[in-house]
This record gives sequence, structure tokens and C-alpha cells, in this order.
Amino acid sequence: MLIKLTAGTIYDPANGVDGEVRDLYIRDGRIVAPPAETERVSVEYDLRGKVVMAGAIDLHTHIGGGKVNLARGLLPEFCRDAHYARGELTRSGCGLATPSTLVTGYRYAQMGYTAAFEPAVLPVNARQAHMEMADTPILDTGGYAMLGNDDFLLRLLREGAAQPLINDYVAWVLHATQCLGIKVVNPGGINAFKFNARALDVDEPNPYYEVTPRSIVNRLARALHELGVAHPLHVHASNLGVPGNFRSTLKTMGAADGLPLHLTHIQFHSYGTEGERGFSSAAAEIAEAINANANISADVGQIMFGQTVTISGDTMHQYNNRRHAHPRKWVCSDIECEAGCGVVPFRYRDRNFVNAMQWAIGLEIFLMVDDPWRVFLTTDHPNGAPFTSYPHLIRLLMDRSFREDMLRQVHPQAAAHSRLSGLTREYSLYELAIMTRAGPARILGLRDRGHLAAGAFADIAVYTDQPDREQMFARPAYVFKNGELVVREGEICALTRGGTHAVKPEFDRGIEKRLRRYFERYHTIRLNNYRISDDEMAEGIGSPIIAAKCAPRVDA
Amino acid sequence: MNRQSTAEPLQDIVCPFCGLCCDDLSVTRAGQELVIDTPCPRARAGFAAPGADAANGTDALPQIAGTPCTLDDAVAYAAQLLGAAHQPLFAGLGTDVAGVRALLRLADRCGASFDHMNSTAMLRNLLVLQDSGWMTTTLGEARNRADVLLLFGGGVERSAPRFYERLFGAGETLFGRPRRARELIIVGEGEARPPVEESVRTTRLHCDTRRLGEVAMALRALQRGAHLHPSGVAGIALEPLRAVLDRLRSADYGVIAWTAAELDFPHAELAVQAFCELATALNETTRCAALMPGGDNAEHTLAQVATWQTGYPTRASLAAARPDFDPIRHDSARLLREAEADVLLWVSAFDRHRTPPPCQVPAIVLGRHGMRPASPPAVFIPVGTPGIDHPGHVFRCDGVTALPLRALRHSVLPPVSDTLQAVLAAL
Repeated sequence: MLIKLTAGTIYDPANGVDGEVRDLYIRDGRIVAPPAETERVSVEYDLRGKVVMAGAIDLHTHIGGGKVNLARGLLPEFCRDAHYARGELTRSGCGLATPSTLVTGYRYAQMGYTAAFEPAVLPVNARQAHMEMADTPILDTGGYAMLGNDDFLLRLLREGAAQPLINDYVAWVLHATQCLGIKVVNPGGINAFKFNARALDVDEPNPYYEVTPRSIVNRLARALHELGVAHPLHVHASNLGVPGNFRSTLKTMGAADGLPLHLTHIQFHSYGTEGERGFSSAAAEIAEAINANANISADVGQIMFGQTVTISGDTMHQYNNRRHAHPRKWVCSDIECEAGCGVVPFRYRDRNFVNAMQWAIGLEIFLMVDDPWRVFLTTDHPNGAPFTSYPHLIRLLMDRSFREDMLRQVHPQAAAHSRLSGLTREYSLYELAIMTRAGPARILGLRDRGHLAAGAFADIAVYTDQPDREQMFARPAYVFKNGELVVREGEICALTRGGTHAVKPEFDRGIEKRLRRYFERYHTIRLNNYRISDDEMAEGIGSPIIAAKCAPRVDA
Repeated sequence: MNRQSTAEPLQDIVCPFCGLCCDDLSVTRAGQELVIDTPCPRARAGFAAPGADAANGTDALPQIAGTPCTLDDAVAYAAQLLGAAHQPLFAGLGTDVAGVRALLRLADRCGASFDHMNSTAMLRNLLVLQDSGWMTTTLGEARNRADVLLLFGGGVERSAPRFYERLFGAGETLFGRPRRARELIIVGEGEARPPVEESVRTTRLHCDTRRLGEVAMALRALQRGAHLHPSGVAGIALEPLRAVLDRLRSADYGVIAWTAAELDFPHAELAVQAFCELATALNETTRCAALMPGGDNAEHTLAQVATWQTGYPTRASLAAARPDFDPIRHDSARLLREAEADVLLWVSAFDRHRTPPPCQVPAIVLGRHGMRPASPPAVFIPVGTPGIDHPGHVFRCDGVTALPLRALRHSVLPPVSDTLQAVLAAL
């Protein structure tokens, strides 16, 4: 079946296409070159006056796994207050900030998203994370396995293990957990909290293993680089939320020794201590460092005002944040000698100085980082705000006068302390397409997603061009997933199931002997029951593997 | 899967019959018979039940009103009953992840309410999560780190037979010897010395199970600096209470544990809340965390899958085309007693002794092969057991891991998931 999308205005930055009117053709789920004139078009969509982009990709959104489900369990009132009725095609569901999985899939697709990545897959919990994502319709998904607080790696580092052994372990974890990348959360700090440490800075040794966050970041970044994994180490840096933490963020950048490093929800790590309240924006310092270091990328983790819930592997800081819980209840958990999780509901208020500063800091970073290929649009869903606020965020970035209007509504001291009113930049549609499509696909190593050249999968979002960018991006005219029309005028019109992007670097199987012994001595689960096979992903879990390309391994 | 009997035992087999989900069993097969090498009575009973293959499958036939029929006929009649019902009730719900997925899809389609057979016990914990949250730990973390384990209730082995062995049994831990000998403190009823490693110092403080909450509240009061009467609470004098608190305060990593099933008295969630508040409060100066072993008939599996698909763990209704949670209104016993449900779908794939409750409405029963309901239900479909007759997944009690179950023998018994998908297709 040949589908023709006629005369849309195409924004396809991966192929340098900036607002050109062109036709697109789809066959067997993929975009194809214009066919011979004689070939019959089965379905044609008239896209004159419409904006056409690849399906959007969210590279950091908490949509699956134990901590998300704990947030749902903790907050039944969020379900009571926001529920979705069953439709002709769709199932019922609920949730204000952490919607049920089915609703998550529908809502993402309804905004033109076709892939989303869970950034904090606890290896022992990977099966659950993939199950939840398998129950998230339409989207392709994937995860980053959390390392850097697990006792196995910290023991290796303490013993002074050679890099190839670290590489084998990292590769084994990627295979066993069916993940696309590796994330480190508060390197060594979650582990330190189990030894009753309440803070850990970048060059401070873990109280038991005497390994520093700097060395953990360095060794993991090196491992991914040498293994040929496309996505750089995904780092939730030390000292999240702590005033003055921009210094540890800069030190963390330095820990990479020039190797690729992705700093996630960097807004939460860009705080200074200036001013009478001891809390200020260090967005300029952070943006300058990103601009000056081509090896560094970041997603923002923008906050929006309103009720949400924060969920993080960073038990050390979530325990500290319990004082801000709204409503007043929270969860922290130490998990299986790997890491932990903390769930703290939170309400960001525009009349609160700190919250208003956080809002401004996120926007400042967006506007001060020059290269849209190295900064990504996220709210760290649901930590800064639910993903459903993306259209509003897009308008803030694309419409300066709207941003100024919003700035006038926040805490006046915060507005006065922020550089935001001086920032005149407005994102173009081309830059937005980089930040939400081409950029994420490139940094995740997804070669046939995030663009619209022949050969790419036909994940396509079509928007009606409107001056109000929030309206425009909230309700696409059409969304295609693998060539199938799934959304029409903002409503779900067909349901598809996605797959799981995973990467399979080479490794020496000899590591399994050591791991098997470790599991039998210390763990409460056997290695054979821990790792997940491709068959299990396809059948029992229900999300078949889409293997991403991996460069050849090069041990230095 | 291998049809022949084999002398070679299968290793690393997962036991789905309690919330600990031990995965270190080895199983030897002789035709339909499975022999496992564990002293655990729950595992032995669970794996012992007879199977059904093509050779001996006659009692594996479904029945309509007690008369054997084909699976297609049983499925068609079940669909007819559900299609005609105004308020279906799905209860029992002992099944694996795939079974729960199928159940919830069907429940959404027919507007059913759902309630696990162990909801009363489950909610003792879950209501506390909803009300105030908690600080918890997991089996592996506790096994390696805990130097003090305070257990509220003396009967943990009834729910989780290998609990002591797996936490404080012989074997190495990650951090070598603790500064002081590991200590086990049991508050509650019972006398027997628990099967822990000899070096573990064990203390028992006797009190009525119904008064465990008071003991926890007294410890919490002492932790806050309150003065208590020297006579103490619940029959435990002040001095031993102080000693318990001191030991928890001096611990590197204390763990406070209980099994919800044992707290079988009204408003036991208040006791659970007191246990959780004590564990949380101790973190002001050291580390301490709660652990909730126990659970059976895959209650955690329902709770996890239902939470991610509907937002609620159990006792929810999809009748209004959207999820609605109410632990009182959607209690299956109440719905049947008040004649608010007009058809019952009962699922118990792990335990053939958990038969449906007596009821006045037509019952569709998906029961483990060998189940003998008290009276013939409208539809009875013998189903396979996940982890024996077909593969599947179950969640462990600490909620961090879903374990993979393997098929251990050839079976003609259909899984719950396939059966309910067929019912949905026939609706």
C-alpha cells in the first residue's frame, strides 16, 4: 500500500530540510523515495499549510518501573482527580502526574510523540519497567540501566579493576536488562546513603568503598565509549537541588575527560547561592560550559507550576526533600544492593521564590545554550511537570511576548533576579524539530527514526500551523506510527504496539562466571532469572527488541 | 519443553507459591510428577498437585453446570453470562502477569469490579502507603546489610516459610562481619527458636498480636523523648522496650518487618502505620527500613499490574467506564452479600483449595486443575498453573522484581490469559 502525504511544509533537520514544501511517500511502514508516476497511490493526505515533522522522541521520561508504580500507589487521589473514560478503541485509566500506562501511550501519541525512553531502569527491576512500557500503546520505548551505586561495580572500582573488565560488566548489564544506555544517579551517593551518609560531593570518597563520584562517572563514560554504545553516559549529577550545586555539575562535566557525557535535568543542577535568599541562577555558567565543550549534552528538566510528583533513584536527596512533600506523604526505598528510589509529591508555586527561580533557570538554559543538537526538551516527567505540559513549554520557547507575560506572573523577586527578560531568542520550528526529533534520535543512535528521508520508519507528526504554538503542538492533525495513521485531529483512531530499542555491545562471556558466583553468594535472585532474553521481551513481556547499531568495541 | 521424564534436575526454578518467590529450587520430573528439593511446605504442596497431559487429561475437561463440555463451549457460555450481566465481579484473581493483563482488559470491556482473595490482608499495608508513605528495603538489601531485625509478630513462617533462612541464615554477606553480632528481636506470640545462624542473638518479647501496634507506638514515643510508665505497654515492661530502641538506634542498618496476614484484627492498618512511622523516625540519626514479607496467590502481581493499568491495586471498579477505587464498596464479600453483583468470575490458578465463595449468582470459575468447588458452578474451566504448566511472571513481595516462571511439564491445561482472551473475543 502506497500512502502519499501531499505538499506539507517539511522540517527535517537531520537532512537539512528547513520548511520546504514537498510530498512524502510511505510504503510498508517506511518512508520511500517518490515512486514512478504509474504507481497507484492508495491513500492521499492533503497537507497544504500543515507543518510536517518526524514523530517526536522523549529521551528522558519516567514512564515505567517500580518507582513510577509506587508513585501511583502512594497517590490514589491523583487518580480520583484525573481519570479517562474508556472509548471505542481506548481503555480507561487515570492519573494526574503519573498516568496509567495506557493513558500515557495515548496522551504522548496525541501530541505527536512516537518514542519515549525511561531513563532510570534499575537492573533488577528491568522486567517490570519493560512490562509497563509494553503496556504503553503506540510508542516505541527503551530504557537506560542504572549503574554506579551497585555494590558489584563499586567493589570492582575499589579493587582497581582494569577498564576492559568494567566494559564487560557494563555490556553484560545492557544485554541482561535489554537497555539502550546507562544512567548514573548521584554517583556513589545512593550507596553512601545506605551507610548513613547524607551528602557526597564529586571528589568525596564513598564512606565504604572510598571511590569518588568523579571516578565512577569517568569509568562508566569510558566504558560506553569503548563499547561503541551511541548514547553517552546519562548522568544525574551529585547534589541535586542543593543551592550552589552548579559547581559540582561543572566538576562532573570535567570528570568525563573530554568523553561524551549527557547531563540530565540540568535545571535541577544549575543553582547558585547569590542573593539574600542564598538561592540564585547559575544557568549562565552552565550554558557557557555546555557551549564551550562539544562533548557535553543536556536535557533541561523544565519545571512548570502546579501539582506533580517527583520520583528519583536519588534516595539521598529525596529523603532530604521529604520536608517539601505536598501532600505530606512520601516513599524512600533501598533496593537490592543496586540503588534505591524516592517518591515525593510536590507542588511548584509561581508565587514561591525558589520555584519561580527554578522555572526561570530552566528557560534560561534553553535560551542560552547555542546548539539545539545538544539540548533537549524535557520536564523530567513527572519531576518538573507532567509530559502533557510540553505544548505550553514549546510556546514559552517560541514566543517571547508570551514568555514575558508569564514572567510577570511569577514571584517578583525571582523575575527581577532572572536574566530571562533580557533573552530575546525565540526557537524556530527547525530548531524545535532538532531538539525534539533529530537531536534525540542522533544522541540515542537511532538511525532510522527522527528524520524523514527514504528508508526511515514512517513515524510522522503533522501539525496545523497556528500562531499559538501551544494549541498547535497540543493537537496534531495527523500522527503516523510505522506508517499507520494512529491520531486524527488529536484523537486516537488506531492502536499499535511498539517495540523496545536496545543495544548489544560485544563482551567477553567470561564475566558471567564471576557474576554467577556473586549472585549466588549475595543476591536473592539467580543470574538465570535476572537476565531477560529477546524471546521473553517479545512473548511474556510483550515488546519485541529493536536492536540499535553499535560501533565496534575498542578497548584502549 | 521436554515430554520425557528426565533424571537431570532443572535448576534455578522459581516458586510462585508465596511472596518470597525463592528462585533457587531444583526440580526433577517424572512424567507429570515433579519432585522438588526444598523443606518449604508451601513449595512442596504447590508443586505436588497432579498435572494433566493428553494421556490422563479427562478430568481436565471444562464443565457447564457440572457436565463435561468442550473448552469452546465453556468459553462461549462464559462470554454469554458476562455479556448479559449488569455488574460482573472478578474475584480470587490468583494468576500471573499475563493473566492479570487479560483479566483487566476483560474487566474494562464488561465494566467489572475486581478484588483479590487476599485484599483484606493486602490493604493493611496498602492503606498505609496511600495515607502516609513509608521507607522500605528489599530482601537482598536486608540480607546483606541488616544488623538488627525487629519482627512484629511471631508467625512470619506461616506466610513466608523460608524468611529467616533467607535473611539471617548461613552464608556470606557483602560487607563481612558487622561491628556487633547480628540481632533478631521478635515481638509477639510464639516460643520456638527461629532457624537462624547460630551467631545471631535472638530475643523474644511476648505480647498479644493485637497489641503489636501499641508496642510500636510506645517505641516511637520513646524515640521522641516521651516518658512512659515503668510498667510499659502490652505486657512488656519499659526496660526491655528501651533496650529494643537503643539497639535500633545503634544499628548500622535496622530492618522492621511484619506479615500483613498475621495482623488479623480490625483496623490493623493502624498497627502497620505505627511500624512504618517507627522505621522512618529512626532515620533521623541512623538507617532503618521496613520490610513486608508474605502474600500468597500472587497478590503482589495483581497489585502491580492493576496499579500500572488502572491506577489502583485491588478493590476497584470499572463499571462507570473509568477506574474507581473503594476498599469498602468494592469488597467482593459485600458485593455478593448485598446481591450487588450479578455474575462472579473467580480465578485461582495457583491454589486448588481456594474455591469460590458460596453465592446466589452464576459463577464462572477458572480454577487450578484438581479444584473441587463446593457445588458445580455455571462454568468451570480447569486451568494450568503458571510456573508448572506454562511460563509466566510473578512479582515478589518487596515489589522490586518480577520473576520468570518456566513450564516444567507438558500440559493440556490452558493458561488463564488465553482462556480470558478467548472469552473477550467471544463477547
